[in-house]
Amino acid sequence: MVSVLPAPPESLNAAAPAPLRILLDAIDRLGRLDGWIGGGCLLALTLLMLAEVATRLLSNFLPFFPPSMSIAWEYSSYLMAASFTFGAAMTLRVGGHIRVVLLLKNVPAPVRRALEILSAFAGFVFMAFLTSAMVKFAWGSFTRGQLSTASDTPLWFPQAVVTFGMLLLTLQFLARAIQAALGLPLEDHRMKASPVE
Amino acid sequence: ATASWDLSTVWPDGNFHTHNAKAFADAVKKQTDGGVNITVKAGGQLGFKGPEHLRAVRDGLVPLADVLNIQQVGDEPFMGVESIPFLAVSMDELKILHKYVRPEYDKVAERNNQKILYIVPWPTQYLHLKVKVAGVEGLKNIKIRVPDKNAVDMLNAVGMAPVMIPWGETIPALASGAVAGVSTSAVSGVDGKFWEFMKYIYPTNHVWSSQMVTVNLDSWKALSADQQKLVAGIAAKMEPDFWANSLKADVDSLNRLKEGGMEVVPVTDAMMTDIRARTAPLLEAFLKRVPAADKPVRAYLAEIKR
Amino acid sequence: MSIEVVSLFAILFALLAGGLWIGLTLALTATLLLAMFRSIPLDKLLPQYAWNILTTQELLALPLFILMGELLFRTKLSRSLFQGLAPWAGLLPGRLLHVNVIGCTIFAAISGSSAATTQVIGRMSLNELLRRGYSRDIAIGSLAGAGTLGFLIPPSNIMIIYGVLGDVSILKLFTAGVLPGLLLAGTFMGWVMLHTTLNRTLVPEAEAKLALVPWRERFAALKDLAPALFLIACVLGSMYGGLATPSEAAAVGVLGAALVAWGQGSLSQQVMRDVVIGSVVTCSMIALIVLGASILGNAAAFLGIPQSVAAFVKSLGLSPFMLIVVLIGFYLVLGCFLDGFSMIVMTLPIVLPIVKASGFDEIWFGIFLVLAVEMAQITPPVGFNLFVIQGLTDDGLGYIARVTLPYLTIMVGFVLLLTLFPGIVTILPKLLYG
Ligand code: NA
Ligand code: NA
Repeated sequence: MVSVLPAPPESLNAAAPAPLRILLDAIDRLGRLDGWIGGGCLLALTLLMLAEVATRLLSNFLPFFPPSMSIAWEYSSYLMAASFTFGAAMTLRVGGHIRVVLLLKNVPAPVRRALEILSAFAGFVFMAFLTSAMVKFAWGSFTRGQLSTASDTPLWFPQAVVTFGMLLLTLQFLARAIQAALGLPLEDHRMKASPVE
Repeated sequence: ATASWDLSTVWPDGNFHTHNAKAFADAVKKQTDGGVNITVKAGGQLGFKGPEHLRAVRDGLVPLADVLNIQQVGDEPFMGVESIPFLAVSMDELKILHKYVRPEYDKVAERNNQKILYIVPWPTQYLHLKVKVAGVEGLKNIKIRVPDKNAVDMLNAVGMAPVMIPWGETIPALASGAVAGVSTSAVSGVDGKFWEFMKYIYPTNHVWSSQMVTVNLDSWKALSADQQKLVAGIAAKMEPDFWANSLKADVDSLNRLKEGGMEVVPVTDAMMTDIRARTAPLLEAFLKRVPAADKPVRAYLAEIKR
Repeated sequence: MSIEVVSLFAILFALLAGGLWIGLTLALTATLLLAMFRSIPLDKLLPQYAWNILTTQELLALPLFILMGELLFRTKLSRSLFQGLAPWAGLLPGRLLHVNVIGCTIFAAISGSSAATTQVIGRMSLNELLRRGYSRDIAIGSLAGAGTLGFLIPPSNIMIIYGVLGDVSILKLFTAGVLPGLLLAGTFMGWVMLHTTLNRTLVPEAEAKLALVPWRERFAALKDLAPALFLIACVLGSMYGGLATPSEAAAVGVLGAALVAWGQGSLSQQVMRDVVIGSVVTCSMIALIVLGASILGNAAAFLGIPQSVAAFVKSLGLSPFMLIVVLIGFYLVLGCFLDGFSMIVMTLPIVLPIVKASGFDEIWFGIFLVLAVEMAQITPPVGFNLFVIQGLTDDGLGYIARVTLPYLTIMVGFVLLLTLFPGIVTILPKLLYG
C-alpha cells in the first residue's frame, strides 16, 4: 500500500511564517491521508455489498451459508458516511467542491481576496459548529448506550468516525482562510487524480 | 396560550395512522377554538427517520411525533415488548397486554421528556409468500424480507431465511425473486401492491407493534391546565375509534389483497404449534435482556391464563 | 410572498454570489431560516440531520456507480465502447454526439439515478468527444439532458419514492416510464441531428468518414462492445435474475468493471490510485451538496413553504391543461433550489388530490413528477447533473446550464405533449397489467 502513495509534494505554504507554515503543512498532510481513508471506506463498502450478494447466492446451494449478512446494508451506510466526510477535506484542497465563481472571476483582486477569506471563514464557522454539535451527538449516543435497531451496534462508534471526518474538513477550512489571508495558493491540484491523456 | 405544533410521521398521507393523526389534529383545533393547532407533516418530510422519533421529541426538535414503539429499542429496550412472538394473538389480547405495559410506556416517555397522547397498534402481521406451504418444514430457507433484528431472530428460529433490506429495495427484489416473501401487515401489503408479486397470505399473527403519538413535555407545559385537560381528553376519547380503524384497515386491506388475486391460506394447528414451539425461547430471552418487562408480562400471562 | 420566502431567496442568492460552496450555502441558508423563524435547538437538529442524510441507505448505489464510472474512464473500456459504437453512430448526422444519448439511455436501464447515469456516461464520452473536436456546447448539453433519463427509464429511485408516498404501483410506474423514456431519448437525438445539420461547424469535418465505413467493418466493430455488454449483463443479470437488489447490483457492476479492466491489463497501481482518489473527490463533492439540499428541504418543510404555494395553486381552480402548465412552472421554480426527494415529499399531499380531481391518472402524474425532477436536475443554481458535469469538465455552472437549455426546453415541450396525449404514458401498463 505504501508504495502506491506518491512522495509528499513540495509545500505550497512556503511563503508563510514558520509557525503557521507548520500548521498549514500538517493540515495538508492530514488532507492527503484522509483522502486515502475515504477511499478505503469506499472499497470496503463495495466489498461488503458484494459479500452480501455472494452470501445470498451461495446460501441457495450451501445451506451452511447464512441467507443474508444482516449488518451488510447498515455497515455499508456507515462506511459511506465515513467515506463522504473523510474525502471532503481533500476535495476542498484540490478544489473539487462546487461554487458559483461568476462574481469571483469578475471583481478586482483585493475584493476577490476578501471574498475568498470570507467564504473560507464562513465554511470554518459553520463546520466548527456542526462538528462540535456532532461531538455532543456522538457523546450522547455513548452515554445513553444507544444501539442501532438493525443490529444492536453501539451507534457512538460510527458517529465518532464521521465526527472526526468533519473535524478534518473544519481544519481544512481554517487552513484555507489563513492561506487566503496570506495570499498563498488556495488549491493543490497535484493531489487530484491525474487527468487521462 | 396558543400553540402551533408540527406532528412528524414517516407514514404517507394515505396511511390510516396518518388519517388518525389528522382526525386528532382537527378535533383538537376545533375543541380548543384554534388554541392548539397541529399540522401533520407526513411522509418523513421533516427529515426524521422512524427510530429517531423518540429522541426528536425528547430534544424538542419537533413537538409531536407518531412514534413506532418497536423502532425505539436502541434507546429503550422495553419498547420491544410487543414484538415478543405470539405474546398476544389477537387485538383483544393486545388490549389486555397494553393494560400492563402502558404504565411502563408512560414511564419511558416521561424519562424521555415526553407524554403519550394516544397509542394505536398496527393490524395483525402476516407472512406474504410466493409459494404455498402446508407445514413449518415448507417455510425452510424461504428468503423473506424483514424490517429489523427482532424479526430476523424470530424467523431464523422458524427456519426461514430472513433478509434485511430497505423497503425501497423490497419491491424490485420481489419482482426479481431476490426475496420470495415479506413479513408485514396487510396494510403494508396493500402499500406495496403485493398481489403483483406474491400469491399467498398466511395469518400467522406473530408479533405486534404500536404507533404512539407523543408530545414534548416543555411544549405540553406551555399549555394552560384547561387546554391540557381538553387535549388529553380528546386523545383518550378518540383512541378506541383509532383502534377500530386499525381493525378496519386490516379487514379492508385483506380484502384488497384478495381482490388483487392473493389467497389467504389458513395456518393449520400443527403448523402454528410448530412455529410457536420454535419461537418460544425468545420470550425468556427478552425478559432476561429487559428485566423491567418481567413483571408486567408475567402479570399479563397470568390474566390470560397462559 | 411571505417573509420566509423572501428571506430564503435573499440569503441563498447572497451566499451563492459571494462564492460560498453550494452545499454549504444550502445548509447555511436552512440553518439561518430555522434560527430566524423557528425555535428549534439547532445544535441537536443539525447533527441528527447530518447523520441521517450521510447514512441514507437509498444513497448507497451512487458511490458505487461513481466508482464504476471512474474504473471505466481510466481503463481501456470506454475507448473500446467508442470503437464499437462509432461506426454505427457515424451513420447519423451529429455522428458520435449520439453516443451520449444512446449511452445514457442504455445506462439508465442499469441505474436508478440521473446523477450516476450522467457521471458514468460523461466519464466515458466527454473527453473522447472533445478530443475529436466536437462542439463543446452540444457534447455537454446533450449529456446533461440525456443523463436525466436515469430517472425516467426504469429502474428509478424517484418512481420508488413516488410509488411509496402516493400509494401507486411501482411496477406499473416502471413500465409506464419505458415508452416516454425512449421517446424522449429519440427527441434528444432528433434535436442533435437537426442542430448539427443546421450548423455544419459543430461536428469536425473529418468525422464524415465515419459514414463511409464499410458495413463489414461496422459489424466487425461490434466485438469492441463485448466488454460493455458484459458489464450490462453483470448489472442487469444480477438485478433481474434475482441475485441482487438494484443497489447491490451496482456493486456487482463495480466488480464487473474491475474484472474487465484487469482482463485488459489496464489496472496498474497508478490507475487504481487515480480511480480511488477520483471517486472519493466526486463522492464527497456530491455528498456535500446532497447534505445541504436535504437540510434545506427539511427546513422548507418546517416552514411550510412549498405547501403554501401548492395550496395557492389549488385555490386558482384551473382547467386541467392550465393546471399542468402552472404545475410545470411551479416545479421548475421549486426545482431550482430543492432536490427531487424534498420536492415530491412536500408537495404530493396537496398536489396529488388536485391533479386526480382534474381527471389525471395517478400513473400519468407519477411520470409527470419524474420529468419535473429530471428538469430540476438541470436547472441552476441547484442542479445535480450540472454539478456532476462541472466535476468532470471544470466548466462554469452558468455555461453548463446555458448549453443545456435546449434540452430543458425540449423536456417542457415533451411534458405538454404527454398532457395532450396521456396514452403515451398509460398504454404500456394498461396492456400489461390491465
Ligand atoms: Na433508470
Ligand atoms: Na435545479
